[in-house]
Amino acid sequence: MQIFEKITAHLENRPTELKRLKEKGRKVIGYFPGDYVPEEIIYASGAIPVCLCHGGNPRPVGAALSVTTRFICPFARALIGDRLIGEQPFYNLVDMLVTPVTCQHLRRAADIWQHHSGLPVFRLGVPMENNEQGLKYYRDRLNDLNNKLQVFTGQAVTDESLWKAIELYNTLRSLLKRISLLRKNSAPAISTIDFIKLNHASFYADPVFMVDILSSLIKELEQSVNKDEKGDNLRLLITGPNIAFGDYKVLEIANELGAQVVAEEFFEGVRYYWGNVEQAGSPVEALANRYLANKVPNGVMPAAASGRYDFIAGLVKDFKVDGIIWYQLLFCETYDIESYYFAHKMKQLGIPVLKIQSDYDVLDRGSIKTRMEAFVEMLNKERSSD
Amino acid sequence: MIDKYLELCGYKPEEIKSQLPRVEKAFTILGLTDFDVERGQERISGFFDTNLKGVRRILGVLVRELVDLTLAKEEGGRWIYSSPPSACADILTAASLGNKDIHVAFPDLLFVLTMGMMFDKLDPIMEAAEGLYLEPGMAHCSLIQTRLGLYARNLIPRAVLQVSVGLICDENPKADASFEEFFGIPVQYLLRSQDKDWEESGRIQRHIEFLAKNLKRMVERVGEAAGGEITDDMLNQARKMARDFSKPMRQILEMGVNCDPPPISSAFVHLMRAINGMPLNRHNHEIAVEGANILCQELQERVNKGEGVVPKGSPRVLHGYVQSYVDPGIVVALEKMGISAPIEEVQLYEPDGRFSPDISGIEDPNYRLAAVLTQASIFNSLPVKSRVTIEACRRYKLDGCLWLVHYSCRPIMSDSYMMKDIVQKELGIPFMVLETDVYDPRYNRNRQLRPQLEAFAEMVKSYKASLR
Ligand code: SF4
Ligand code: SF4
Repeated sequence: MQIFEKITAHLENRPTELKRLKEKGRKVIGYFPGDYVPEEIIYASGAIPVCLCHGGNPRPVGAALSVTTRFICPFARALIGDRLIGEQPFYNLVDMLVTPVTCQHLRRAADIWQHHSGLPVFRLGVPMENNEQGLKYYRDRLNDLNNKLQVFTGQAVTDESLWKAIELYNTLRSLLKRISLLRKNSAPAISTIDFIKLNHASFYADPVFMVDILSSLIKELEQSVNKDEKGDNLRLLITGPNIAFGDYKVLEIANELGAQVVAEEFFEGVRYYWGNVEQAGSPVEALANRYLANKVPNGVMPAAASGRYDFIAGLVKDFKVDGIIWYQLLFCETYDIESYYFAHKMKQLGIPVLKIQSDYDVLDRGSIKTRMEAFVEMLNKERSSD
Repeated sequence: MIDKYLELCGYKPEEIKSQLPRVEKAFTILGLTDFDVERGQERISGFFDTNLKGVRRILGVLVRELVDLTLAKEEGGRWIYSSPPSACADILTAASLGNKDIHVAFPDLLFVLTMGMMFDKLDPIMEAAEGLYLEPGMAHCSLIQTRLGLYARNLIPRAVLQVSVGLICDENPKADASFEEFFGIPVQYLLRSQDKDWEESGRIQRHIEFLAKNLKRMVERVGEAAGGEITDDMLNQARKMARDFSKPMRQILEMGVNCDPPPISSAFVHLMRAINGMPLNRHNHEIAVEGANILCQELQERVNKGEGVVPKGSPRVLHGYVQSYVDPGIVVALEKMGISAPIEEVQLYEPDGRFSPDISGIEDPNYRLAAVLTQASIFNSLPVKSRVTIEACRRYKLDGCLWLVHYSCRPIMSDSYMMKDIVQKELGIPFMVLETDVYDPRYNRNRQLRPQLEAFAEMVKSYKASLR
């Protein structure tokens, strides 16, 4: 598909393009994932938002051990290590970092970035309870971020520029959602690994380019969908705390085993496309509502489990899922706790859950494959006995 | 055997007589055998100076609390629990003052200090937690495992409310949420946002505001669970009770800091601080206050005689972030090597390592507590924490930093190497980071840590010698 080639070429050229824009005075604002840092605010300030979400590679994970201990999750260690070893071009271009304060691992990764590189860092507090007081706090912090960015870029942010940015990102999310929903079909027009790669690309690419390319892609995909075609592969959903750019091991193994992953739900790494910013009221308020209140809570939040379970149970039904893979990053303690409740509840629905742990270690591929093979076999047996 | 143990723990003869049956019953439930009790005797005599009457009396408070909680399932009552950090201890105490049927505890810390530290018999509780869902290999916090293990082994009654304090880590509230899901224990959270930017210091209004409002909600919710409103009078009484213990404790702490040599091991001061942070049942609280006052006098006599735990003029270090709850032997070993550690980082406040925060001009008690909490070193950003440490080392003329990190506590352990980097660059003093588990005796690496401790002691001694 030519479109994927275009995206690859765009991403390859993007660091050079960013360098050029920086020379002209534009700022690159890196931010950590988790869908709490509204790119709209960064974009409206004239800066270029880049979500730093690379992972899956053991090299930076190991490098991070020179400055912190091993009980930090591999994704946070990758963020640290990639900045330390300087081999990740996007990371080297960052002028300022915005980190959502969601978990201790990300919080510390930001500290290490600041300590070792001297970059300015803005810490965006994310209240861990979704209530009125929390929403007000978050909204105030978005205003602080907005002010900080205006000073940093020297460009005023107006309501008009914010609404424009909101419109752009709403379009981007809507396109991703339409593509995602195509996987409901019994013979999905796009694989989940490709969908996640598109989603990941949207964090680094120029959003205008991305909107264009997704618009073309959706036309192609919608034409290619054959609603009568019957796919008989197993249908899996993958969920967990984080799936990073480059961390495709489990998805590849699922493909190798002939199981189709048809849906995903992740806190970090995947752009949240299920809801848009309502274009009413003040833009910052609208952003606060979208990014904190009106969405599935993240699993670090203490009282998130039932909301998250309900959402995923809905996906299971809509996407006709046979089984779930819980992709757990090692030492991500909150999601690990939630995984037990989740598996327990899914069992009541009759949906088996396989938990796969990863430390981005290349050597664990064999054991992960063996466990997934057994899981797929079990699901196939269950299907044939139905 | 048990009566001897109780004697060592400061029980008076008439108390032993009246309470022995309850203690025996509780020890049976807990699976404590004569062998365990004998080992317990050896352990506490090794860790603490049990020649001091005040020490013994205070140790007895832990035994009494353990017995009360263990027999609670038979003896009835409704329980409200919380866990460190002890931001809500006064609220819990206040709830127990208003209703005789309400009892309060930090069950996890209590079991760590008794079944863990005293008897070295926490393993079955930890294993029960691991068998349920806090599996090994994920580096779950052992304090939280203890809490789950207690429920898993059905050792304590289910709480009518769990007060969940998420001021430092994410795991504590998340685990409490899971207890609500699995065991139906209602939770009220005290959360905050740790988004202090590095340029920010001092009293950050948005944090104080957020926390104070949360504290107010907490008072209301605990009152509901206790079946009656918690009034300001009740809260004031609870605070006064806390002060009754903390006042002599503070004097003891200051003796440790200001007297050369310090008259008592800081391992015991640490234990007193742990007890000070927990809500105690009323009768036990009175005994704790009595013990603290006796100890204060005993130590004053030692100071007058110039007696102490290390030779006069010995080097002194800052203990960060906190001592081991389950193995005071680490600090005792350091003292035997001729180095005292009279101050712990967790007891310091910004901006300069003082023992009290700035709460001037704040009248509302919730706002005052919020201001205290937000200025504590442990709740702060890296620059503030490192500034506090540096200034404390200068202010108290310390010769090094021993950073004992609880390996599974992400917020604490993950910045230790940066702390070391910053402090050493500025002061050039020895700074050693040691990873351990401060709650789980299975990872009690006192013996393994010994070579590192010895190396640290040598570094500190030669640093001190180089100053002369
Ligand atoms: S994977 Fe878990 S621990 Fe790691 S950054 Fe994400 S939420 Fe935090
Ligand atoms: S992880 Fe740290 S802060 Fe949290 S309960 Fe454990 S020791 Fe306390």
